[in-house]
Amino acid sequence: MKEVLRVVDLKKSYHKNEVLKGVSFSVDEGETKVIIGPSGGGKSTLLYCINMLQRPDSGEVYLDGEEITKGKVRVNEARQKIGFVFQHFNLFLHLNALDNVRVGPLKVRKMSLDEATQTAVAALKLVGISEDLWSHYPAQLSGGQQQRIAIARAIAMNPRIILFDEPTSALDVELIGEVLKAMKDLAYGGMTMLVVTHELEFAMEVANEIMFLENGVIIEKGPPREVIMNPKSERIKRFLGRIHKEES
Amino acid sequence: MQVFDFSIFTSISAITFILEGVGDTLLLTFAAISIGLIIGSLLSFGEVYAPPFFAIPVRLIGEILRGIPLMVFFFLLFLGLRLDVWQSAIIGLGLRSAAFQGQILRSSLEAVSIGQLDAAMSLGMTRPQVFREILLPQAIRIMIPGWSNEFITVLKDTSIAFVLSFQDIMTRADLIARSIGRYLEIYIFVALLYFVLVRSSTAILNALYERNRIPGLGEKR
Repeated sequence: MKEVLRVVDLKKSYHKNEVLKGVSFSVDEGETKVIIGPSGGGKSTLLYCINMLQRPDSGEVYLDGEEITKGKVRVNEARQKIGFVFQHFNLFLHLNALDNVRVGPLKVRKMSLDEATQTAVAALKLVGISEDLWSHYPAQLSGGQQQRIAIARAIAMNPRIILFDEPTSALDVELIGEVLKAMKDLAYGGMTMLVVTHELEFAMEVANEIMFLENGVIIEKGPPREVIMNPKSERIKRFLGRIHKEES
Repeated sequence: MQVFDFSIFTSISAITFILEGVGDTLLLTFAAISIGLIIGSLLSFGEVYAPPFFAIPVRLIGEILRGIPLMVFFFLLFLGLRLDVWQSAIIGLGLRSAAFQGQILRSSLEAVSIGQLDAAMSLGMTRPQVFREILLPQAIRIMIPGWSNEFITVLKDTSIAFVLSFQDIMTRADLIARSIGRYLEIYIFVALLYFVLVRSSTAILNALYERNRIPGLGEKR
């Protein structure tokens, strides 16, 4: 399998607080990898450092074999190939659903209006946003709809990989399902994905590998069944026990 | 002596003399607001985007401008720098307004969530694109209500240009009042005139806000 993303010894500190203490892994084309772990363990920081919304202090990130952490690389060009789905959706409030998805292809990819519209419409259909919602603005949509539009916004850029930062954590329980379904469809459709989530069922179903990140290091990784059903470390057992308790 | 004597308004020439000042009042308002908008934008962009060695002096300029009474501005420009009446009036009101419009624009820029800017960057937009496509269109909409207040403040404060003998509503009214010796009636008329101008302005600006409001945000409850 072709390698899409490689992260090598990534480190990041805020003031004296070392959030990432050397994280390395890779994601192959078509794979879905899931990162789990406790809050404050560095999961979000890791994603933000991969697409350089936050600058890592050291370490390298390679996209399709090309290092994007080097100073001379144009970061905005690398970002075009890395989709990002945020915990709080972060849709553009002054744009309707269609324009939120269309603005990337139109302004960044420099497509014609027709082409950008077709791309956006295809992406919206993929995440199950029906035509009657296209003219709605973010403030007029439910959290689940907003997050699916945010996923469509990432898809429309035709990225090499999409990063998901706890995409269902800000959602009411009854809205989580529709977002997870869109993500599963995407994974089965062959998209390469790196997902930070607490949704273990989702991880069991679609992940090729689960990584457990705590205190800035990956302390265990492996196939989801092994990590979730039979974790080696005591720490993970306790963490999973707590999640299960919350769910039941 | 009767308290009110509105018969003085049967003298058409007195009224038209005052009304002829409306044009200059509005002209001064628009000129000062425009200058204030241009300089205020520079101040706010400087404060938000410039590196600290530049942003700190810019903030200081803003604070100095906010701290000087309008009347002092007028005297500085007119008597101190010997500018003419129009220049002193426009620049004085314009500079004072720049300080406030700068504040309004800065807080509007900062009101756009960081998350949206992250999202725009994550699409691969360049910084100028983020500014043009995401930040500015929202900041301008957010700005309208606060900016409307600043507009009517400038409109009303054009009357202070009276101290420069600027030929606006106020100065003309004063001339008439003195010449016929009736102050109360004339100033009630002037108060009504300003009220009509202010009310019309707010109606237009409110309509502008409603038309450009982001659907679903800031709805009337």
